Amino acid sequence: MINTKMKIALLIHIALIFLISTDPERGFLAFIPGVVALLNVVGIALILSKQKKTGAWIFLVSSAILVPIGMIGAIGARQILDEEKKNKFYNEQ
Amino acid sequence: MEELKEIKAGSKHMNSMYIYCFLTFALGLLGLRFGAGLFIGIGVLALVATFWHKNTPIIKILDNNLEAKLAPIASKHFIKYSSISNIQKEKRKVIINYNNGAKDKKLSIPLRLIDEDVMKKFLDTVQERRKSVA
Repeated sequence: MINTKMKIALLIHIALIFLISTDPERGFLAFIPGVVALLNVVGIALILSKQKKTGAWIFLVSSAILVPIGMIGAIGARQILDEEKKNKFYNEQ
Repeated sequence: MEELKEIKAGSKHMNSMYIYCFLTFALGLLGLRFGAGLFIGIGVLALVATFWHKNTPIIKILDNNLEAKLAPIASKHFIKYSSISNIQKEKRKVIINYNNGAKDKKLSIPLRLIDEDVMKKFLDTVQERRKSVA
């Protein structure tokens, strides 16, 4: 259900929160990866609760905020959307 | 003549991507006080796109349909040959109009993405398949 790219992306986003928050001058900027990680968790929760399309879109858009490092998560979420599309296409045939 | 099964990005496109990656990283690493991070960021994106294009076919030609994904984050198109309504060739791109269920959709393939001879072969193959399923 959740692919490796998405797991790695979430771990990187969480690591970013800790990394930025340790900076004494710009620590407050940690809220940006914080919001992204939160939306990532919401996306994963939706995917696990069978709302794959909505969850993957939330994950994709939230990860795109942190491009270029967010690209890993965006590609992972896009893979889920493509798989859904593929299943739908081949089931219709 | 060998049958076309999958199409990868053309050599011209790959060469321009390599140059683009090199230039963006070079500009970023030159130590420009402002915009260095931006250039390196764009360079990383270009690098990801380059590796993706190098290793992944952008179009797969199957018996009844074709699958096309032109970039790593782009949406994948699944097109039945029978659902293609028309193919337009414009100056810089080829547009394949098709019907997906109730929706009319289009796949726009930039000409610079695929080598000229491969594109010609691809269009011939698609036209041939369209006729055979009609």
